[in-house]
Amino acid sequence: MEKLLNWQYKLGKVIGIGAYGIVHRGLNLETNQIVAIKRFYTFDCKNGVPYTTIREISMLIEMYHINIVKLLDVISNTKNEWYIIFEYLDLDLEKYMYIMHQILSGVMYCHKHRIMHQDLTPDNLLIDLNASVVKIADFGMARAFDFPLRAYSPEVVTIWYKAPEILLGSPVYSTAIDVWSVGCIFAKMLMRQNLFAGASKNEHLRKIFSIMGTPNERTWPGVTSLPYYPAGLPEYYPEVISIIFASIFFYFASQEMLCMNPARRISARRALGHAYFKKKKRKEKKEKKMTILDPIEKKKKKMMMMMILDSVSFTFVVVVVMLTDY
Amino acid sequence: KLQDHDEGSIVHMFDSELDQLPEHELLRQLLKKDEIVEARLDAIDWMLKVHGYYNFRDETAYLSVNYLDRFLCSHALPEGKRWLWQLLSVACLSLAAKMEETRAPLLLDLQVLEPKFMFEPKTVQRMELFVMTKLRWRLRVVTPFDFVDYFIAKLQCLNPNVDHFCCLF
Repeated sequence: MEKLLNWQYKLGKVIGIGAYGIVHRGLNLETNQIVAIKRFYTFDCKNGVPYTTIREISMLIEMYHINIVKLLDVISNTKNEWYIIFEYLDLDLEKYMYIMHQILSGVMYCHKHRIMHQDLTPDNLLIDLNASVVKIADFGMARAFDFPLRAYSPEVVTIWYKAPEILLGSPVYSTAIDVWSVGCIFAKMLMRQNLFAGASKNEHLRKIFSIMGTPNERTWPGVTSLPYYPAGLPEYYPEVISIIFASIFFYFASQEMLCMNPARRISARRALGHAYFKKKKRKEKKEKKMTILDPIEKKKKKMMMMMILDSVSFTFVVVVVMLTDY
Repeated sequence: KLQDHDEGSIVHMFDSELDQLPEHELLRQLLKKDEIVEARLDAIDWMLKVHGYYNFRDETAYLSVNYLDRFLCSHALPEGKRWLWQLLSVACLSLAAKMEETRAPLLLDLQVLEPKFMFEPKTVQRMELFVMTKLRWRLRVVTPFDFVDYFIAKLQCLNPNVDHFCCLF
């Protein structure tokens, strides 16, 4: 075992190799906690620190949620090699059905904090087998978004989990792309194979259309004018999904999470509010009630209300100024 | 779409903004020194020029200045070393671009408009890492843009006619 500079961690065997670095198992020598250590590459430095590393660290460092992988530390050694320390989790996502709830909770948390993951795949979901907890990882493709959603780079998300609006070249997309990916992951979990698996972008689109039906102006206004909308495609009708999924839950998932039109696709929040998850939600609410607001929290809330009022009046002033100018 | 994120997000935004407040006070103290004021203005001037040259988004400008100021609060630059200020500007602008832009230029391409000093990408990379460490890796910053967008979206909910004004922002 090689020791890192600060003598705090020991590097163990390699547990994963990603596009942006190697992940080792490791040990925190002070706490005896087992961790995952991801080394990030800094040798190709024409562009400095890769933007994926910058985004992953800066997003994860602000996220505290049971279903998001926890970033523990960022450290370097004397050779200017940098490492990110994560909590250690078993890499397996096969068995549990109720993990869907956890995946959706994690996705909802991201969206609430205005972060689109953009690369949700089974590889990026980790599971703690002991506690049966799922965590979303790998935020290298993630980005923060603003309310009026703008054009973002289209080359995101592994193709099999890519939403149709990206494949069709829509210049603007939203958190709905993550929901589509989750829908595909759910389908894979049930079927043990990918629901849509095309080798190329066009073949993949054709597969989606053949199962979900070819979208048209009625089901998805504006779809035919998207840049990559294929011409002369056979008009597929939606298959009877219940036969494919053979379960009420997946009927729901396919109808709402795999809705082709992103504007009509269910949000992570609404999906969690679905009858399927209701039982679990009630239990959580009960637990939430038990926690009492501490005084600092109360003070923050009060200040926040004052700032909201300030910002509201500010916005009105801006609007008024604009009106008088024009 | 808005209703799906709004309430929780706005609370989180205010919380994050509050966390960033103490640093503003520190900066006010710092800006009492003439030398720092001048060097900081030069740095911002260069960053904004490059920002205009590449037609970066508004958020990128805000972030690069935010990184610069927060760095200054956490680390005292030795006096009289103007090259260090230039290196800091390159690193801050590059970090902001990588956070916000769909495509950030290479580090050598970023150093345009005849800066007084040019730096090897390797040097800039080390500075990027140093700046990020000093910022405690907190590169996501709540900006006024977030609030303006939020309230405009809110106004739209109340009155569809407000739509016309959105193009002004």
